[in-house]
Amino acid sequence: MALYRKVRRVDLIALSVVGSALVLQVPASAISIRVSPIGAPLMIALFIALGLPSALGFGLSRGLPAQESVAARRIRRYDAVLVTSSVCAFLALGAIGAQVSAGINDLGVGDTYLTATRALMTYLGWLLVARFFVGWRTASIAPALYLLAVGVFGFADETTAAGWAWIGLPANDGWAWACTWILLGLGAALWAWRPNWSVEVAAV
Amino acid sequence: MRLRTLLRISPAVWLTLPTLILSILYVTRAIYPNNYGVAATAGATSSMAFLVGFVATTAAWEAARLRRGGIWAAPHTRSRLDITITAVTPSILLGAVFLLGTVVAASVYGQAGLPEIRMVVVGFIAICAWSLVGFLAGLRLPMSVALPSMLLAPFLWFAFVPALPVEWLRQLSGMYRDCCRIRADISPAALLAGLIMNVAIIVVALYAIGALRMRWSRIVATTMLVVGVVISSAFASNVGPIPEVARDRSALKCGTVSEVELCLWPEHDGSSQVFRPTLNKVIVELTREGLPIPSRWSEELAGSSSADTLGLDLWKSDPDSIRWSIAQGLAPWPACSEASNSGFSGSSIDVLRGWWFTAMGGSEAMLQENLGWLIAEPSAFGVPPIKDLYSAVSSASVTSRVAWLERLTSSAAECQSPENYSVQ
Repeated sequence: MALYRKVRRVDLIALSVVGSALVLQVPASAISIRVSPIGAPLMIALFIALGLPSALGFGLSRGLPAQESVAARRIRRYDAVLVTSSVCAFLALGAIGAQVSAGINDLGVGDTYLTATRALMTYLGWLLVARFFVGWRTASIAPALYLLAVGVFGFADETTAAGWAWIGLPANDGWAWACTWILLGLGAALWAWRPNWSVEVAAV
Repeated sequence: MRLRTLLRISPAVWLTLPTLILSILYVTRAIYPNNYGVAATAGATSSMAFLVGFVATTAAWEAARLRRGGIWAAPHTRSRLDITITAVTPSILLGAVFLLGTVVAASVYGQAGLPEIRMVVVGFIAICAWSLVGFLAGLRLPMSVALPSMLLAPFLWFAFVPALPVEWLRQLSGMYRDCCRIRADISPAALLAGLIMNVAIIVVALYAIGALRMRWSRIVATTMLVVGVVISSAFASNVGPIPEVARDRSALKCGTVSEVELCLWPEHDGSSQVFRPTLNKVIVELTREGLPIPSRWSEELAGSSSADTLGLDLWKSDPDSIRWSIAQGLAPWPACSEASNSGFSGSSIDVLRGWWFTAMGGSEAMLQENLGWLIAEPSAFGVPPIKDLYSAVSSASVTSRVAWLERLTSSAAECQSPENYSVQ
């Protein structure tokens, strides 16, 4: 288990969970900027939410896929637990932080936290889907690519994002949450179906 | 490396066509076409905000490939500088293709003529700088961190820095999307700021990569970074948020219409342009009506007009928009415009704008578009029904009309709302 923690850099993943949840409590994370005339407004929180999926991508890309696929220990199950627990920890810390901030500072960080959580789940979905095609090492580019596409081309009208750019939609938007769950479900299903398959493993 | 091998292995080569298509799509959808080459080129450089990410990412990919294969650490006959340049060349070419493609597309789409080469050169230097930063990230960071961070870092640098309250910081990037209205040219100080900053980044990145192995190279690189940041900041801090300077007046094309000198920039004076015919018509019309208009109309100035010069700020080429621009210029500039709590509502200025627009033969639709709120509820703003007022003024004698105009103009200029709008 110690080797697993060392290889997967669990310390770094834990740090990114705590760090992201803490940084989200800073009111500046709610600042929204529209960087492209045909792009969706991007909240700083959307960039903060990228931290954990990137750390997970980094951790899960380490190790030796071929050996892990035939290991006596259930490495894939460990990985599933690692991903689930880190996301749950982020949700819990973020929720507690949002409540504390709202109580102490009278700040409306609840929506920011919800938006960031939804974005994190979306990024994780993209990470898992991309892993199926290109492997862990390169998959972490998929969430960043999606965020970039939303910022540059995710325009619907003057105030809101297009349907495909759902991370830019308001925190309580039903369509956005549905898309998030579908993508995350698809990614998880692909991971569960072929946990050991990727270009990297196939190439070994 | 042979070209065939390069084509086979380099993601930069694979991405060249998609990024070119993306950049052209962006230009045609995000940039308002105008006829000014400098503005079109500046608008085209805005695509760097997202496309430079691909340059940096592909360079990071290439570096990671060399590092992971042990090639970078292995002994080699070629210098590291040589290897670095060869490795980042596809990424730089990718950037050059999309930058040139975007600039050409913006020029063609906007019918803007020749692009501004100096901006393209600085943009290219920025692409070189980011390709080296990407290569450095690929060498030093794990691939799963280097790739997404290099995709987003240029985006943050080019697109988020301009949103910061320190406005001159945006001039350091080498992207000049806020430049330039037709009366302005790109600021040389802004170009120098972008150039020096990116050259400093190149030198420091080459040192950090290990491609520069000279005596004192660490000191030289550190000095270059500090001096580069200081000098480029010094240039940029004098520029302000918009990197423009007044355009050379000798390019103006002037002519005389009904004793009024009319000066336009060459881009607005072509045979296919409607600006001069529309302005000629307006000047003739206003002169025939005996209305007091400035003796010189010129595009070199905009905003407040002096007593004998009307500054034209023309950016849309349909005749109604031209008339509305003139109406805005002919209306007075209130003395209290800078004061935030002057208490002056400015409705009388809108009344005057509308009247000038009507006197020039402007359309009902445009009047409604710009002053619909005032037409709908005039009493809410302390003015009479303005269409009735305009009819009464138009049917009055020339002397009464001029007197009405001068009375409203002087009171608005002094930030006073007239008690009586009626023509005497």
